[in-house]
Amino acid sequence: MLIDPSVIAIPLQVSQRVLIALTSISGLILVAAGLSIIFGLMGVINLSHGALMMVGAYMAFTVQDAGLPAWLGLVIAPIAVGLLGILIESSIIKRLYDRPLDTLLATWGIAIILREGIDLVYGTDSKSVDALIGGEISLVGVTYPVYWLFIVLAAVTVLAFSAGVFKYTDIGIMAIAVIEDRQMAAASGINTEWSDRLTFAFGSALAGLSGAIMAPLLSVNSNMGINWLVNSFLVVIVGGVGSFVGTGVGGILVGGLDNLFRTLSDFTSLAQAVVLLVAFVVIRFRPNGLIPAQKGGE
Amino acid sequence: MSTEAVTSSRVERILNDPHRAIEVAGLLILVLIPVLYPPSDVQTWAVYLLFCLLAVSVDLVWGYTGLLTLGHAAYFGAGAYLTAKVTTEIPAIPEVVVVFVLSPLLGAMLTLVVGWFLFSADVKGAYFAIATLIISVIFGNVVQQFTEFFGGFNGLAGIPTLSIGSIEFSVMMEYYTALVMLVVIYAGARLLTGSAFGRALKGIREDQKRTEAFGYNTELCRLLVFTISGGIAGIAGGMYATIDGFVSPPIVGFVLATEVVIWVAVGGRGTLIGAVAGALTIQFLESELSDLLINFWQISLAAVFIIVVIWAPGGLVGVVDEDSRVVRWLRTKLVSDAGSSEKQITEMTGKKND
Repeated sequence: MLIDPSVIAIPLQVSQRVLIALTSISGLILVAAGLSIIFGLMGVINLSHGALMMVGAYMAFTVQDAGLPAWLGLVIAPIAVGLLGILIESSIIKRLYDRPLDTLLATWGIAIILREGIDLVYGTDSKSVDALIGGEISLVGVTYPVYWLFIVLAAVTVLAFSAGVFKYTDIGIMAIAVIEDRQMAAASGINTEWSDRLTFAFGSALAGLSGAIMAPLLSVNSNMGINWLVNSFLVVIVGGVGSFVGTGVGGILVGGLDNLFRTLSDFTSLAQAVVLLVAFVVIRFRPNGLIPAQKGGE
Repeated sequence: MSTEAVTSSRVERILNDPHRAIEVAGLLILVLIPVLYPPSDVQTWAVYLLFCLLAVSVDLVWGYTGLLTLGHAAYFGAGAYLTAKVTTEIPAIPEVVVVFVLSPLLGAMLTLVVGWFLFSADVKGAYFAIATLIISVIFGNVVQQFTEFFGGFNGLAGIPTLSIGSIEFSVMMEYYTALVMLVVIYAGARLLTGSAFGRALKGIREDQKRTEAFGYNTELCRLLVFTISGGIAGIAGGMYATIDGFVSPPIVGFVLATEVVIWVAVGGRGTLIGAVAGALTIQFLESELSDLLINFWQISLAAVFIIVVIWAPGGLVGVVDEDSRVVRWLRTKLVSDAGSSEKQITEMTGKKND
């Protein structure tokens, strides 16, 4: 093809921007997926979500540090953090289902314990984790790390898988039943205690998985969770609490806006501030998010 | 009267109103701090007092109306940064005016705007907590971004100490100014929460719809208490800037916002004395123990916090409430043994006859 390179210069930059945005949107959705279950569906205001993701990233690091194959990290992280979720639910969260605001406080306590515990075990210095898949491919004229594509794929898969679990599997439908009407569900023979526990563990496992997947792109340290925690809440709230489509839309909006403002100005923190302001306004005008969940037969 | 009887009646008085006893004992200790500690520590204690003020402002909102605010670090930080900027850039305005007039005004204005925006749509519960948290994070970002104007991560240093005319405040004077501020604002908050307005606030906390049905304008009540608490946070921030002489992003963002909530929760929300006691105790223990316990200090504090949230929502002062189990047990042990059991019995039967 004969195209003047000066003409293509701008579109090339745009397509690169779009690909970067696509990756960061996918990352946001991936990390927020677990929260959209624990906060969106269960109503637990889980401030330990970022810390659970951080523990997942450390699991990936541990696997790498032990010289084991990297894919094992993606298996061990969700299992370990899922078990941690069971522990947290059965010791703390189960006592607080009727006091939602107190779940916020208690989970913040959990986040502190996890953060300090990780510092104790691994030290305070930042770790780096190698990507599962190396290499780059050329896409619409831009070289693009293959691992970024993997993240996009993972985000789509995780979101679709979670939505599928709660829509089509017995255990998922039971979990929804318990969340919507605990007494009715118990009366129809569902073990509500274990249903809650498994739902919480599922959300935690997704947080752990997202940590392990995102680890190669981030500097892994005990404080990495806070930013992701705030962003995950923005994604879930802006998109719509209790709906996986909403989480997807929220991720696109939050990530898209963030990237847009980053391109427009050099002030990266300010870009985040603008996104936060947008979220603040959304909470005021659309407290159920842009795509609210459809409840039952309504 | 034997000495035994005198002590017993004193014990009885304390047990009948343990919170008053904590107030008196606490005030006594705080007055004596400059005698007990060298001047370098007195400044640290002055900063503790300012964080106590911040805890009172959070407790006014959270403890009395049930609205968990995670944004008060922003209003505190706004007061602090305002004071830092104005005192260094515009020396024509006396520090006293900046700290005691402009800082609370800024805090109150910010909370007025945020409160109006959120309360007019009846945002509450988790959404209120997260919306106010967003405010803290935004302020943190803004302060970090404008390195030229706000000093970025390095913060702003060289803030002058308070002075009236040509008299510059010594550490001692700063400490007692902070203490007087705390006592005055605490007493004011106590009056406010004990008034009809305070009862309306508790009504909002317990059942907002019912309080509205009684004819209270709950939106206005919430806005009023939120604005007052923003003013308190602002003044605390302003004083912090002049006493510490240095402001930096940690006093604005997420971390301080959550720390205050932990102080208030562990101390006991909705009591005011709990906020002050929690803030003081935890800050004091933190400075004493964090070197010794390293990470275990934060871990044990978090564990206590979780335990309080689950099993003792009244916090530490809730344990010594006038009708808590501990105090009732102490009363039967200490008071009835010393000979006033008869009086108690007549009191009880008297009540039954009513």
